[in-house]
Amino acid sequence: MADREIIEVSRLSKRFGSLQVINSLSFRVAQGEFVTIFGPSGCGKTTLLRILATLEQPDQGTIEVNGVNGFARHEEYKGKISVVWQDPRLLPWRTALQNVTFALEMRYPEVSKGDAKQQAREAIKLVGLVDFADHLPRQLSGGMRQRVNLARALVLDADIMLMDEPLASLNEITEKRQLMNEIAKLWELKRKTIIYVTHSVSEAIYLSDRIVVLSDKPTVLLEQVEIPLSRPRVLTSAAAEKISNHISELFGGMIG
Amino acid sequence: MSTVQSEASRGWFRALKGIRGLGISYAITVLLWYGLGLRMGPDIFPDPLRTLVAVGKILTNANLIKHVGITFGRTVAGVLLSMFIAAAVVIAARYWSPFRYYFLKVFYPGMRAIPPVAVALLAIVWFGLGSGTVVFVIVITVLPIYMIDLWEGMKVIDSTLVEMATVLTSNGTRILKKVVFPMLVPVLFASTKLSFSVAFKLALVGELLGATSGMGFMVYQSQQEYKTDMVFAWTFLLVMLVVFLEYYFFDVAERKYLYKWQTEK
Repeated sequence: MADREIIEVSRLSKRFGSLQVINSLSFRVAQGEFVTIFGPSGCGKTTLLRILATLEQPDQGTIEVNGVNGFARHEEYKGKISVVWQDPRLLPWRTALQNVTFALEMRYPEVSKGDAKQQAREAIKLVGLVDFADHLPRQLSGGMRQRVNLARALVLDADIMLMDEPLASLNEITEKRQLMNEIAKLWELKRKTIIYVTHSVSEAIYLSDRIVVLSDKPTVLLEQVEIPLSRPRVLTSAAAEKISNHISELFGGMIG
Repeated sequence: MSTVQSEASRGWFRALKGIRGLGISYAITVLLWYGLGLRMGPDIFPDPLRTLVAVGKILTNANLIKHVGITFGRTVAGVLLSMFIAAAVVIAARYWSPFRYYFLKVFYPGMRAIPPVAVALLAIVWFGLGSGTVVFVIVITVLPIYMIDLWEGMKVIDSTLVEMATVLTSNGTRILKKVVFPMLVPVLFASTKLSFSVAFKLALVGELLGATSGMGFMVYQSQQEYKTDMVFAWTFLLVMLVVFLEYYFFDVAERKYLYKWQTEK
């Protein structure tokens, strides 16, 4: 981690009733780093992301972005993050473009309508949806809706993007691959700090600088795996397969 | 090409069949009405022609047509007022638990049970004869329609969209304005459509008992003067107004704007 540290998660614990979901979890993320939180289904990855988005309060521990505590200085912290959701969560009565301007209207109401539209158009262009800007969500394919979801997070120009399994809701492999490539390209272009949640080893290896591997519940940090591969990555390369096998071995070969 | 032609002719045939069906239905209604008019006499049951002449009298007389505008204005005011009051009450009940209990156990059941005629008589005492009484009667009776629809609508709003918005802002008013209220538009639309037809009938009752103008008052006055054809004409105009709003205004608005809220492809 050569770059400046931006996120610090320290001794984070969360319990739902008698179920200990996260147990004293700590890790750091550097500015501009692409970190994937990886673990088996139901291990508490999404809970961790929800805590990072301040949608859940931890029982213990802290989260900080550049020294700003997520729960003590909530508003300031929130201004530094944007979220790409697993399901696109688009407002059905707004067009693709209007869904993107919505993010600005909510977070920065002082931005004029014209400026918001201009910025939203740029974000829509970045995700390759210029021709579909005036379409309603129901008129778009699953992959297109996810691109709008991505554009809505991009337009905020926040320091950190939290992505909660953005490919999981897509059925078609081609759509998944396309969007995975888009995310990789956008990261290289914008160099935002990304925390990406997935239970797919291949997504994690393809996209990240580092994989934070979590155990099954109660979730603890198993290992942090650096991915020293150049981009664009080839998942069938020997080096990628070696990393994949190593991660799989951490779960006794039960994951892949 | 022949397939296209036969498709087109089938379309025309269906349209003609529809128009013919509608024409036959109207013709039967008018014939029945005419028959009843003949049998019972013009003082008891004026026939369609006599009624149409009376409608013509109303439509060509500025002093009479203004009563249609008065009733329409009172109805719109009553419906809009009900909508705003219901929205405020339901939001308070949704986000403030002590009021929720009062709303569910006392306010809503009480409002539903109040008979409109009793309300009209009390309103005359409180507001005197005039628009206040009519609007009050409409509000008291239409309010429960909005309240129950909004309450149920609030229960099924997409909480994931609200959550998405809370990551963008902590400003509750902004979330209400840009996410919660727009989500309730289809519910509000359906309630408004129903409320208007109910409200027009209530306006008539309210004006009959507690006003000195409006269509209800004119019905009352015509009945007092034994002008049955005018009673029929005012009623006919009210029916036409409700039919126009329901089948043309609301249906067109639904087709033109509400499709945006559909989530299915």
